[in-house]
Amino acid sequence: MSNIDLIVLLGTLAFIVGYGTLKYKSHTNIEGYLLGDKSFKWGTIGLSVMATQASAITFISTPGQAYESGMGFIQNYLGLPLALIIVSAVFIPIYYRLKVFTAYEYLEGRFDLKTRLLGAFLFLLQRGLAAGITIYAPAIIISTVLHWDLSYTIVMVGGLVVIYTVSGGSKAVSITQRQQMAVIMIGMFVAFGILIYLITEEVSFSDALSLAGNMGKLEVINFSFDSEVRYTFWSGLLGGLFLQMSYFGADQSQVSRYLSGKNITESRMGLMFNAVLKIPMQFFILFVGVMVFVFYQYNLPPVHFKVSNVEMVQESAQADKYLELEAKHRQVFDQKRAALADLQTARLQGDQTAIAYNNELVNRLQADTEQARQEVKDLLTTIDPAVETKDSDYVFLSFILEYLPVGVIGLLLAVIFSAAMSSTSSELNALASTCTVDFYMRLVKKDGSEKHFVYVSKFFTAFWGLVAIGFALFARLVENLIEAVNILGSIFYGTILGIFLVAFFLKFVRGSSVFWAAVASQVTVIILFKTTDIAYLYYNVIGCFGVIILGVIINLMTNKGK
Amino acid sequence: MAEKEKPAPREDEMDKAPFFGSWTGIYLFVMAFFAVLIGLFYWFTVTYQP
Repeated sequence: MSNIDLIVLLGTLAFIVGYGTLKYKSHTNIEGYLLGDKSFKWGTIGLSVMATQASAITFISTPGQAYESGMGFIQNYLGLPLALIIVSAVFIPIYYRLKVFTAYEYLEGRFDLKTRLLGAFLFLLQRGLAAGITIYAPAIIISTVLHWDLSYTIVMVGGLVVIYTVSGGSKAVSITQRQQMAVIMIGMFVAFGILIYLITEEVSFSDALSLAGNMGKLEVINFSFDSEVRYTFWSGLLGGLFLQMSYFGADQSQVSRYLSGKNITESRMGLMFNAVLKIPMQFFILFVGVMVFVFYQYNLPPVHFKVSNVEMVQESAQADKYLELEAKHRQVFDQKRAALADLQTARLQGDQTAIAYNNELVNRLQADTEQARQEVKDLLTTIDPAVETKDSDYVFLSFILEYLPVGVIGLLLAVIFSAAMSSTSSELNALASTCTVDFYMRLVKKDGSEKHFVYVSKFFTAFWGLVAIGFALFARLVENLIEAVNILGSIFYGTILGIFLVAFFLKFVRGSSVFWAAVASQVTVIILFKTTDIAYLYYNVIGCFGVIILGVIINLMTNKGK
Repeated sequence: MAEKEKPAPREDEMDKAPFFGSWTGIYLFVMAFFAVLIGLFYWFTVTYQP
């Protein structure tokens, strides 16, 4: 990385962290610290909600996912607009009416203390682990690619967030998220522009789309009913609806974002902002990944994108075998390049037979490319059976470092750091809110001064920051990073959502019934996760309906004897 | 006796839809936008099928 890139990266980070720390350092009341004095307009709320959801993993892993599997992942978000409408229409008015700091406060009024604490505990468990992944995921990739020490990278990302989140609380989180989103969008558009410029030196944009489509990368919607197909229209709409409803309605990291609105109108509009823009944004990021795939049809990609794995195999006794595979990969690439040139000529001549022939040839050669890539992965496993061979998370960063000009590389790295910090800061703020309001203020000290509670909140923010950094330092992930976060969320979100839906809509169900129903559902979901291959989005549905159905049954049974 | 005017809501209690006259109108707009998006995705999928 050049000095200019380093200056762009460090300058951007220093500005954001410095601004967040210095501008909002004095807080005298708990509402100011945890909810930003409820002063934000919908634009800030909308960007804050979006930045909280879009972590660094979104910008590193998603393009890699599209590179490998195409655009189908977008279906994961199809339940989002409907979920946000429900949260806006049902959840927000209730939270505002009761003037709550956290979503779980409401559960005590509606049910009892133990149900409130269960909801808060499930949130702390899920979000506490997720915060570690949010820091770990970009750190492992950045450290591998830039040859930085992993531990230092984790401490740097986590440490920067802790500084301004502890100091400035919710206000600093929201305002810095506005700046972070600006950096993210500018960076992604610049990268996309350069990518398209590089591709159109070889082929027109329209032909690039045809090529991506022919190679199966542009299947956005899949109407299959197979429950084991991970992303379909139905799993996205149904499972995604429950996942997103739980995330936006009952996850404090989002609830605290929109409760910092000036009034209900601003909070609702902040959510509608996301209902309209989130899916197009996600489409855009996936589309960048597909265009990287097209770019690498005309420019030789590495046979394996994870540099540390390549270095490992090159230093092993299998180095010659690796070189053989690399040569085979290059040979297939050259043949594919020639077939693409023939395809282009056939298109210009309108020769349909030649177009069909070359399309098929390109696909066959692509299968050979995949075969060579798989053989490298197999080779890696023979050297170290525990090694992570999945390299799709490294595709986009590899492209950035190899082909983007000086200065833009620094900007794109700032995008990744900004995204990591934006979601982590919301998580830490929410974890601190829940610990302070639902546990400390409720169980330990009810009559402290405002100043005392601000100090306690700051302590919990720093505490969760250290927990997240600690977890990231010891974490070892085995699957795609973005999926790891979604799977973790899906295991707990269904149960939490079920509790809230019973609270809102089934007024006859009492606290003990819903509490035991939630415990039973959570255990069931964990058993299903361990023993079956059900698409993970369905855990949300199972957990949620488990609480609702069991809650009603337990309620009927316990009422019968009375 | 003159009818008492309803007091205007405080700023933190404002719940007025800024567009389309009501929140239902805004929700319908979001759903319509979503439907158009699904239509475009479907068109994209069909147009660029292998």
